[in-house]
Amino acid sequence: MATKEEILAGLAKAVIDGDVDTAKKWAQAAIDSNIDAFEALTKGCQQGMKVMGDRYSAGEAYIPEIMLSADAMYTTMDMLRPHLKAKAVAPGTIVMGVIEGDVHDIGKNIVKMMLEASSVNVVDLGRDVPIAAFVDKVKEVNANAIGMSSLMTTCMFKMKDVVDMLVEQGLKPKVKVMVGGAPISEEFAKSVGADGYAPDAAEAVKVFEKLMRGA
Amino acid sequence: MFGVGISSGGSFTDAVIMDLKDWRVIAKAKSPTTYQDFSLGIISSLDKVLLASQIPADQVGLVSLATTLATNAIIEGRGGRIGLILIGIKHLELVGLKPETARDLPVHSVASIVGGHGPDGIEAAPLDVGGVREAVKHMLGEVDGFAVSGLFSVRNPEHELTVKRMIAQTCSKPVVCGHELAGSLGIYERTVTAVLNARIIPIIERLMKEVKGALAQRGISAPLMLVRGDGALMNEAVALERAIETIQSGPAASVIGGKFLASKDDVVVMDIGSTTTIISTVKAGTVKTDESGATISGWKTRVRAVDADALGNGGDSRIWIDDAGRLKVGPRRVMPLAFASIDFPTLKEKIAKSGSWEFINASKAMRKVDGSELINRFIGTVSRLEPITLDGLKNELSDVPVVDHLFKTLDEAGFIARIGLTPTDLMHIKGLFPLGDIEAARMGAELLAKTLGITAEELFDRVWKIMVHKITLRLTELQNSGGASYSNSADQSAVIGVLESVVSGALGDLKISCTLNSPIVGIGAPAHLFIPQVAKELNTEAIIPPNHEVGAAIGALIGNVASTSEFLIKKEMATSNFVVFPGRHVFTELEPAVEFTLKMGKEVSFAQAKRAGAAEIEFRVERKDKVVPNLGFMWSEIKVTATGRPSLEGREK
Repeated sequence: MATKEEILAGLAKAVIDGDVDTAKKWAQAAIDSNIDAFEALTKGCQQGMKVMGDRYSAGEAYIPEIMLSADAMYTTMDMLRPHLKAKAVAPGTIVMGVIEGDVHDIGKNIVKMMLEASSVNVVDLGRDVPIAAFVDKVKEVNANAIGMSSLMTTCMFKMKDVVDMLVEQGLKPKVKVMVGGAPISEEFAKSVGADGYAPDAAEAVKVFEKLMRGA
Repeated sequence: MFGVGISSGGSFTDAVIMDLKDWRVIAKAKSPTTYQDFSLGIISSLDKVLLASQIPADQVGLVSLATTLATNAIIEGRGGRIGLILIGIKHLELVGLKPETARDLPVHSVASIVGGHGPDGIEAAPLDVGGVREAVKHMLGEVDGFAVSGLFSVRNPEHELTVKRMIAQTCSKPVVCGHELAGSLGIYERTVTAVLNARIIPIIERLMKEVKGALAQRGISAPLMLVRGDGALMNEAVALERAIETIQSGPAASVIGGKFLASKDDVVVMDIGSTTTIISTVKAGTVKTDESGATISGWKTRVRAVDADALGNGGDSRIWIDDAGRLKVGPRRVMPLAFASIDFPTLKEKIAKSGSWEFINASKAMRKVDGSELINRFIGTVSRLEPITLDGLKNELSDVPVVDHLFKTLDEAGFIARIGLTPTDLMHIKGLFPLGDIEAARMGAELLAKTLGITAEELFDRVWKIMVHKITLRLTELQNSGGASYSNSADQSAVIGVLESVVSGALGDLKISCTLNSPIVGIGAPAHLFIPQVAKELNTEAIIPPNHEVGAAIGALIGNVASTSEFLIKKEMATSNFVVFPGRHVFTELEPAVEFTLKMGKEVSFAQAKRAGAAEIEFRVERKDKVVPNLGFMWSEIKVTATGRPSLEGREK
């Protein structure tokens, strides 16, 4: 029987390699060894994704490889999800989407996955989401937060319109806003009235948790 | 030329006549505030001050009034029946409204119409004109006025204005639009502001009519001004459209009067009134205001008003003994024995006979209540014209088992008026306040002192100490919270605990002192009796200026007429255009957009200030740009304020 460390390392490597079959094997091992499913996700799969993210940032990995890794991660997630302890790490519902005019959704999908791995209830509106749709969905599902991303400088300003809609309808500060995407900086996030900004998916989970705790 | 400033407070309406050239106080006067009809107390104080000054009516060039009438009306839930037309709101519950009941806002009926705009000022959906026509037709016979509030109307008021025009074509009832009273986002707050404004217009209208009638009878043709919650003035024409802006006008007048009388730019103003002590701060010559809007009776509005803290400690605070036998002052307000004895001439007899210094009487609100036989008997017993002691009430209703419970419930709901011993009574005994019945005050004070086993003199000292302690503590808390931020409420209570120890000197041999950096100016009749001690506790200077007892009336007169308009210039990235809101004025360059905004801002503010009665108008422009590194200009918020002295040209007859 493999040790816990071996299993976590195995999960991480399978995700890095984008090897779905091996990832499945290690996920099953984690379940059989009663390893905490959340730990398997965060210390195993998520570490692998982080490595891929770093490689991508450094220009050492390309989008197809990231997608393979994401596949491996989603597969293990599906297996581990039923074993996640009921106690959510960051309870809450977030409405997510790529802002109107922009179709780049890989980043958003990775953040979504990370949030789901942390048992956050994610309502995904997909890409090219009209600004009114965010606020309407928030009301419909009584969400705690909105997560928006954009890869285009011409579109990111629409985030301010979404925040304005929340303010106009009295939904802020109750509904928290977090933003991300390649051209987005912390300063930009602050200036449009967002409550949180994360440079990557792992950080996004922490930011969400912080916002939900009201810290 | 001379000006008359009048301020109606909780108990008294003060009036002052000043020379408008050198701001010399010529005469001052005081009359009881008349809650049944505010104009009576106002006219009475006006007559007194005119008589005292010997100034002929044609020499009066300005009359200015600070009144709590609007505030009281809103708190008491009075006002006209309003039809509310909401535009473009899909979820009514978000603006505190349930379409079936419409009980959450004080409106008679609500119609939700398709339409409204987006954050970019572009129409979100075309206005359902047929729906508007139908709603107006339906409401017309049932309402006294209309409030209209549309989504993003501050970015584009077109739909609100269309509805307003449509209503104006069918009737002459007042129509208030959200964007007219507020320039910032938040449809809930704008709707509340518009509804409350529409509701109290008839109430302010009646007051103005009566005061104007009285002025005319006395041969005064000077303009009549009302003080706004931020201390600025507006004439009757504008006050009738923006009645809501008179909320908080009392505290505004007192802080402006205090600042003026102290001739200081950094000062804490304390106005010790009958019901409350109002504390406000002036920094660098600017009165601290609540920019997000005043909250009144639980309603969050968008009315800009002075940031004043009201401590439930004043001349008419109840002096009482708690269950543990400790002497307490406030926060409950009671009618002082010295004044109650004038309204109820048998009161002294009752004090002597019952050995009690506390009596109850039904408040006006209670006399109107309709209830079961039991409640009606209860009301009948307390509302006989004579006050009764609680024991007397229990005796008369001895067959009612729940009388204690009933009393408590009605008392907590504010239906019971109380008469009792107050600091005002103690001031009467000391000869500091000569308006009421000194004997009744003395009888009450001696009875209460006897219960505690002390002399009336000792009672006076102890009550004073408690008052000074409370005011000092509140002031330290306020000053502290003004600069400090706490990560949690436990930290905050810990700090307040320390301040309490410091103020009460309860640290054993350890002596810690607080120092307030600005002097305290005392306003209100009893200011000289408390403020010097409060200042001493805080190692600062007390300023008790001459005429402090009419400080709020002075503040009502010396304000300027002002009007502010707000604009937003936003860069739209997709097109690289600069768009000016409200409206949607599109420019390809920033500078022409700014020029256009300033020109429009000055025109709008100038016209509004002139209409509100300003002369010699000057402008102040506040511009806040948002620039982000690497991205450059994002948007600019521009406020244009037009300010001027009140024009002394005679009002329209």
